[in-house]
Amino acid sequence: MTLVDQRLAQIRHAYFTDAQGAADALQVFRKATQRKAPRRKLSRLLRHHDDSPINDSETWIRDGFDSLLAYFSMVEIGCLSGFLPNELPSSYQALARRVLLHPDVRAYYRDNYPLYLPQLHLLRLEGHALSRERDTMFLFDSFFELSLPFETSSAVETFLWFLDGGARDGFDFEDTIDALRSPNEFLKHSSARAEDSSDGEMEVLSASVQGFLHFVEFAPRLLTLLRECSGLPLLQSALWHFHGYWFGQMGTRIGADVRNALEAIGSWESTLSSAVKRESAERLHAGRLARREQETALEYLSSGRFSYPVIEKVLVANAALSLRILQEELAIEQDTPSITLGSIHELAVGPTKGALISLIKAPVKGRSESEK
Amino acid sequence: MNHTLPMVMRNAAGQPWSAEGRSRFALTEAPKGVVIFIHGFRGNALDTWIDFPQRLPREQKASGYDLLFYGYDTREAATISAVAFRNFLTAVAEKPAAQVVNSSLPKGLTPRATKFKYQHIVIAAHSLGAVVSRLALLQCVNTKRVPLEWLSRVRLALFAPAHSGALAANIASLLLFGLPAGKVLGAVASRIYRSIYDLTPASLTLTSLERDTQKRLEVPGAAAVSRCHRAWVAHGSKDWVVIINQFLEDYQIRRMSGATHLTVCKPTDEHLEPLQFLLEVMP
Repeated sequence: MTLVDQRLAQIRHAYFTDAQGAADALQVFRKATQRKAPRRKLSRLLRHHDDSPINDSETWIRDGFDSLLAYFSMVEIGCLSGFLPNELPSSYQALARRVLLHPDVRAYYRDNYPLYLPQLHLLRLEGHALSRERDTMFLFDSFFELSLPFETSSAVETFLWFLDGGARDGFDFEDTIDALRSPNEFLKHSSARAEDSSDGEMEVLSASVQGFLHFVEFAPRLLTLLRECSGLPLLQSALWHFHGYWFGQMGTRIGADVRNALEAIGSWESTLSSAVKRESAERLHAGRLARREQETALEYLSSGRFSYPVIEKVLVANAALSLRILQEELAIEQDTPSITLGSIHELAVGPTKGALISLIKAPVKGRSESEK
Repeated sequence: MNHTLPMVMRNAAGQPWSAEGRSRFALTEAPKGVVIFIHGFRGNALDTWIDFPQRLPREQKASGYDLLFYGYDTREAATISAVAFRNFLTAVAEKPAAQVVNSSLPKGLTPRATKFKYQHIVIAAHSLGAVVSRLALLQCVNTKRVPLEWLSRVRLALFAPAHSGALAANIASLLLFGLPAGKVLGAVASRIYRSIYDLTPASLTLTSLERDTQKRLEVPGAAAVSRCHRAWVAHGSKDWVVIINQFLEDYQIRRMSGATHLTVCKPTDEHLEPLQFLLEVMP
């Protein structure tokens, strides 16, 4: 086994053995894409939730597909950071292309729930040059460890499910925030264990509280890692995109609630006697600093400021591809014009044939005047 | 890179060895040693150590060591946690290939030879983890109560050990994002966390620990095996949680300037002492 195979095996192990979701999803994918499998089964499973509500069993399978996409995304980050080479082994490429190019899977990560890292990885598999900016293997190492609980921890899974608007056993995100407001409730839920319940599963609200705590402690660590990547914009952006969906949710819907929860934890301080406050001034100060750091990190990561480089790469490459196809269709013998995000800005609603033709006729090489 | 990525640590039956336990194996056929990390009160197998899992593998000296991050439920009595840790330690010392390494390695990576054994076993423990480790070492005896031979290969590196006890209110405060728990909440915490009683200064657990360790150090003709009970110890100058004093024949305490109870075991760019300390203990 080559060094590259060994490294791929380690990432695969995390997503297919230490966590089971990706393995289950791959099995579903294989069954659904067999020659005799009923058509449209996969497209229905991977539909947008606005088309029709998602039931419980579908949720778990779709979670598995998210893990499978996370696996491909982690491999992409491995390539960008130098842990893996630019060109991956052919057996891996065959599997990744088969999954990522499948129209139903593609619609899932491109249209229904846009994720840019699988799209970026597909560009690599299609032969686009995505060379690394410099070797940063140690960053991959840290990022992999930091991200592992998102696959293996049921507490984190529960919290993220709530963050996504879901409910379980009658509890949801609001209940999680409420539980954080009282020190007694906090203590009860944060110290609960799976073994406490007869079915060996941790109570849902306890799991969500513990998932929340993990998430707010994770945020400053991720931000530190992203700052270590300053000067490596594509890698920095890729690391953010790996968790970007959750920070997007945080920013648009419930960021204020999370901030309130952190403030509520801080307010416990007011219940202490002045003697205890005097004795513990140093620790109280450290606690305040930690909460401020968590709030700042959550706000910063939810702002979307790290998202641009990967999105640009994907949009520009997709537009260039559309142009090439159109040129071939129209039999225009001319070099494909250079594309930048600026030049496709006006095509944001989707490259229409007319707009693309005008782009070919009058190639734009830089940002538009209005953007300069 | 000299080590695998972090992965779940599994026993021969394929079950996780401990809660959130992780392993990073040296990419060599026969590493000379292993470092076992064991966290403290309400800690976590990996999070307690923050940057250790990434920083240690970058050190040349660590390239010949497997790194195991053990987790346990700190609500339980320290002696109960020690029983589980003793079982784990015994597996690591006696049958590492079959019971820890090969069952955790991804398919495709070269498994270790069945007869493989570590020459050195370093236990890096924080706070309550130090008490659990010391109790576990005392339990490593054969049916005739004779200490096991492989103890001579063990070294203890203790970060802010709680072997002399802790201030109950302060240890309970660690439950609440570092906020002091106050008397009422402290009482609630004590009902949930049995280990808080163990950490009360002069508790039965700590008294027996000191007495039994003393006896073990005095066993005639067993110097090699007894050496494992002499620990290397580091304390932060700003630690207000545990009681700091010399424990029996431990080596002289290393003072980490500016470190608190929680930061004493977390190396950062500005605070590399925890890493240096551990590297010094590793043979």
